[in-house]
Amino acid sequence: MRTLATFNAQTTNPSNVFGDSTLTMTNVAGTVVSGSNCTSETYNGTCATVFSSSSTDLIPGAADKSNTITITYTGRITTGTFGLYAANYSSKASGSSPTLCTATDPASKINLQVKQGSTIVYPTSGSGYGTLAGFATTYTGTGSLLHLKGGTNGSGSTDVWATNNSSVFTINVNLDSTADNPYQGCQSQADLVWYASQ
Amino acid sequence: MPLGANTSSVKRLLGLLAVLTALLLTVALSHAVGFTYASFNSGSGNRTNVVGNDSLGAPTLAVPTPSGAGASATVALSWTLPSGDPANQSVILRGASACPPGSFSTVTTVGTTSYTDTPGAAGYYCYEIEGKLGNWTSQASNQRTVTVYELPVLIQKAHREATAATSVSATFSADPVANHLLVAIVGGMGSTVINLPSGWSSAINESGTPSQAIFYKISAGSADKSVTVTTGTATALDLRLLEYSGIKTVSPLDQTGSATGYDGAPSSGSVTTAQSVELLVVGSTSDGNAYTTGWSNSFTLELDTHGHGNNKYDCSAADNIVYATGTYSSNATVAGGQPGNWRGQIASFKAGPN
Repeated sequence: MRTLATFNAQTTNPSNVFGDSTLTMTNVAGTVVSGSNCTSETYNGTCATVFSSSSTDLIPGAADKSNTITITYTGRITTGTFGLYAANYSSKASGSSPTLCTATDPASKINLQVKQGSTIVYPTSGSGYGTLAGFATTYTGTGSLLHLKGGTNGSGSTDVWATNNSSVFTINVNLDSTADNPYQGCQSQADLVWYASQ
Repeated sequence: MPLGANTSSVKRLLGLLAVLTALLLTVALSHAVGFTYASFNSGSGNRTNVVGNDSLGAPTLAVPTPSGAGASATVALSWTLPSGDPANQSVILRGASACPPGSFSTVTTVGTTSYTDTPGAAGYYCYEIEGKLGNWTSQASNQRTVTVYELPVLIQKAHREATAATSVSATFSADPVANHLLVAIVGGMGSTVINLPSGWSSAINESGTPSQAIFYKISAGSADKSVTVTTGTATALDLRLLEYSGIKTVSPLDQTGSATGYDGAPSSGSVTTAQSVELLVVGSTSDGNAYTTGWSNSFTLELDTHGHGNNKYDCSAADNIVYATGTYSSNATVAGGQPGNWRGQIASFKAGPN
């Protein structure tokens, strides 16, 4: 499996990059918290941040905080693998309150749900919520992906994304009602990486 | 060099270049094919997503306002939550001593930012507030000490008068309770020195016509059942005794005041109290025909003795419990004639606890 190092090599050969990089996508957030959307097709873009501590401010048992990411596959080659994983995950991120946040694994109380269109794709049971900790420790890289169906909003086959296949992914998070005092002021951090390969 | 030789060398060189070029093209093409199709992948990232939990800030507790005294006293509490704080409830905590107490007990949980507590007994209390939201509680607010004063209560009273005497004794009907406040009001119709009984303290002692003193002590118990007061010269004497509970046993006296006059209704003089809950005791002595029927400003007439004709006099004692600092006085209401020469005195005593 190739990683960003491969892309870096590609950038040294523009004709190879543009002549061969037909596995591209756009990545557009419903609400841009920071950064900017990848509205132009990209093969390794850094796109918008969709959650921040101030945009979430979770309290126990409260309603979901949500954002959407629309992924449109723009490559010319139908994919053989397409999925989502978490990178740079930190259950107790550096922004956590050193005095209030004493929980050892704050993300274990962050309930997470990922919808593709109206279908819950995480948790994979298709209902309810998993946790951010569960997601981020399960889907850790290109070898451990949450595989996603192509078509429109997941109407196609798993891992098979053809040109202009597109899905709206809704990311719902909330703080579990059982989160007690040690979870006050905690922050958890993760990159969401959308991955495609032939 | 012959031309044929040169031509041959050039041909060999061109041949070598052709072979080398072919090799390089082969290598380049094979790399390009392998790069494109063996390692092809793509991705995009939504980076640095942070999911943050809110937190509860510590409330700020304002100065509490106690009202009343004793078991029915109340303490009005109010506090503020930090701006934007998500707490939807507040926990009221009370410790059974001045701050900081050894421990706190939860009084109640409310959805407001004010509460009136009834601690149930006199004493010192420490309050603090915590914000609450579900399983979350905030750090505690600042702490505030509140004093709930004891309610002074008249336990018993006694009275004795003497004609043309240099001493007068009075006896309670029951043994006084240790640590209660005993008050002795002594009146002499003539101008005389009133001597302080052993073991007692003088609140105020004034000679003249008439003379009067207010003495006090913290009871030692049964030994203080009877009290004798002597004077420098013989005159008509009147001794009024009062026993109160709920008064500080250390430095109970706060302020005193007095007034004198002729005819008109006797006045107590005034005191400006330093503590919110205090006992005010008033005594008056006059040599006129009038007798006291009451005292103004919510004072309660506790004792009144009077004579007429050749033995005209009027001696009274009254009291009042006040619940706020301020300046207090009272005027007697009289009947039966004019009071003549009169002297009024007032003493304020601080309610407990010490």
